[in-house]
Amino acid sequence: MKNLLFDLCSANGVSGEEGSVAKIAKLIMGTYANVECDVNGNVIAEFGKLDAKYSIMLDAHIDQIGLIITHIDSNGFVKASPCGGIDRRILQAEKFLILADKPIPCICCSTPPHLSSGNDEKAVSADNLWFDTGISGDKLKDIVSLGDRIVFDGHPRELLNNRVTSKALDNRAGVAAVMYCGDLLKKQDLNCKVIISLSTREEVNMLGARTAAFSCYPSEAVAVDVSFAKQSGVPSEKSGNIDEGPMIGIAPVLDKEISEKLITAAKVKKMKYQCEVMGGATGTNADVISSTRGGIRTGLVSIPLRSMHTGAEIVSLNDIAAVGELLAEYVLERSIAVC
Amino acid sequence: MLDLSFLKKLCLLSGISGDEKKVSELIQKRLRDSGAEINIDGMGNLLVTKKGRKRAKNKVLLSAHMDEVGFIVTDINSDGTLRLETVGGVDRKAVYGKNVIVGKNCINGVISVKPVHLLKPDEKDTVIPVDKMAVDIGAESREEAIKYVSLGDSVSFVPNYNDDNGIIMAKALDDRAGCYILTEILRQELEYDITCSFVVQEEIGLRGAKAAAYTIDPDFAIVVEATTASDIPGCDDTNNVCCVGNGAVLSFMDRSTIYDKECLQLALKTAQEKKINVQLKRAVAGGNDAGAIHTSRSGVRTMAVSLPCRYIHSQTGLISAYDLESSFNIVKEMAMKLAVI
Repeated sequence: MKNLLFDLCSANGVSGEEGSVAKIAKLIMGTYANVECDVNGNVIAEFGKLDAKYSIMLDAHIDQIGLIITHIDSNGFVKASPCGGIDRRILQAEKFLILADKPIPCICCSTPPHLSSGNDEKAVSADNLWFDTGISGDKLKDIVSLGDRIVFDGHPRELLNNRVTSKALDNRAGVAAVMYCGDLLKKQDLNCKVIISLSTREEVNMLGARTAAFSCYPSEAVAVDVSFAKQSGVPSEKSGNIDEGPMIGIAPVLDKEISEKLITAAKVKKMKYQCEVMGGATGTNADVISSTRGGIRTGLVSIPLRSMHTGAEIVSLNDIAAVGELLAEYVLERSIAVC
Repeated sequence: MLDLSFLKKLCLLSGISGDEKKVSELIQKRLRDSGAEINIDGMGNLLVTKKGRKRAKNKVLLSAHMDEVGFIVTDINSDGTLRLETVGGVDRKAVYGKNVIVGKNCINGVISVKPVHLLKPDEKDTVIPVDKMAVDIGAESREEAIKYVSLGDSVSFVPNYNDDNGIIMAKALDDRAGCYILTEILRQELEYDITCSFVVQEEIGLRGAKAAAYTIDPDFAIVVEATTASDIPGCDDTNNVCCVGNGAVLSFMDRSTIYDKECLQLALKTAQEKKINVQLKRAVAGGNDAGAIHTSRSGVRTMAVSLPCRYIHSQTGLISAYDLESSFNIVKEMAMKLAVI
């Protein structure tokens, strides 16, 4: 699990350019499933009883937040816009990579304290995000193009208690969980078709999942994403506890029966789980999958994560494995029930 | 071209003020076969003398500091997160959400961030003060954290280093770049004797240099430092202090020192003669060990050679290899000139 997660997190895939992450996933799932990429880059892996009428889609978004280059000035500084909901309070003097043909290290510009004239109480504004490669404008324009993505630099690191910190854990943690589920199910005799959809562009209005759900049109779906873990400043009603197992979503947009069956599956497996109750939409791919075509019954399972949308998000490997196991148990039970 | 491999080793170490031992040991190792004589004083300063081919008329001191800015663990919360205080002038805009390492066991940690999704609009623009931050090491409780971390442990940003395209991006370039220049000079055959001090505790008030200058009692001193460059978007040209890529920075005045005029003139003349590109620091800002050295005993004639460094006092600074070479050359030339002036 750790190696898979570290590989997935070390790859870079900002919304709309998820290719390098997709490649890792395709290679692994290709050993037991029919894997294809659709026009939007969604990785769709099908296995189980392929001609079965009943199909279950497990969705996890494969993209990560980042930025996109909009301007290169004559001195070689690069201006960029956010791709996804980036936290501007953490950007200054942070190290990033420009994903040109060859990755180029850069630093997010930060005005030195002695010149910021009282403005150093403020985060950098969204229309003033500059990045510094140190390379001259002429030279840089040959190697960097407008539209190139910028991502957090850095490698996954281990913390105490089987926890890890990395960029892109939102949602490579979810990707690792559904891939682990696929691994657990690959040798099982299933009565239904299982579709793992690693969808693109979630961080920009959930664009990938819309078309993946349309073309696969599964009988039901479970979205897997990360959600807030309890930490200082985060209200307990809006968060789960790290290391307390899968967060099973309960919300008006989610199918009540699926939520209940997920809880039953957790009980059967005698695993820790927690309920995440939301009053409306969930802010995940579940919102768009459930309203695709004439509607798809959809559930949601989340992995508790701290410091979301930063270069140093935190999850527990135990929670990721537990989500994979919960999904496998759920699919096995559904496979028996629907035949 | 300079061989940057030793600079990389220096920058990949952590040594916040008061905890410079690893840096000191690496420099001692590098100087082992250089013929230099090394002494360590009561504060941990490394005092190094090297004989040249000829005896110097004046005692010339080159000084760089080994310490870097960082943090110290002041308390452990009941949820197992660590409370911090800054050590030195950390750029506080550049702390939130960073990866850190804690203590001598190098425990991984993260300065934890309240998710942006849960912020009120005005909170999204507000920089969090360091005393409101906490380091998450993955511990569940204070009891668990205390097994791995002690109060007073040093906390530093995670080391990083790149030197592609003649641009060096790394942690602690202030002032490992200075340590690098001095070490590499000491490894060369020199015409005249020199003394170098690799000092501690610059970032918390020029403390190491004060003791070093007292012991060495030099006639002249050259402080080799990194200084703020703000030649970046949003700062106008009259305010950028110095520019990356325009050569070593020579100072006439900063917040801690008015520099020796004759030394400065000689440096400018020498740069012209030897075709070394240099620039003058265009602001009375910042300060460095010159403040302690030039007032040592009955006074020391002092100059500063600085490297223009963007994003100083953060996780990653940026300097150019060209400026490093320019600084190396002017420091070496001036050390030899001042020895017989």
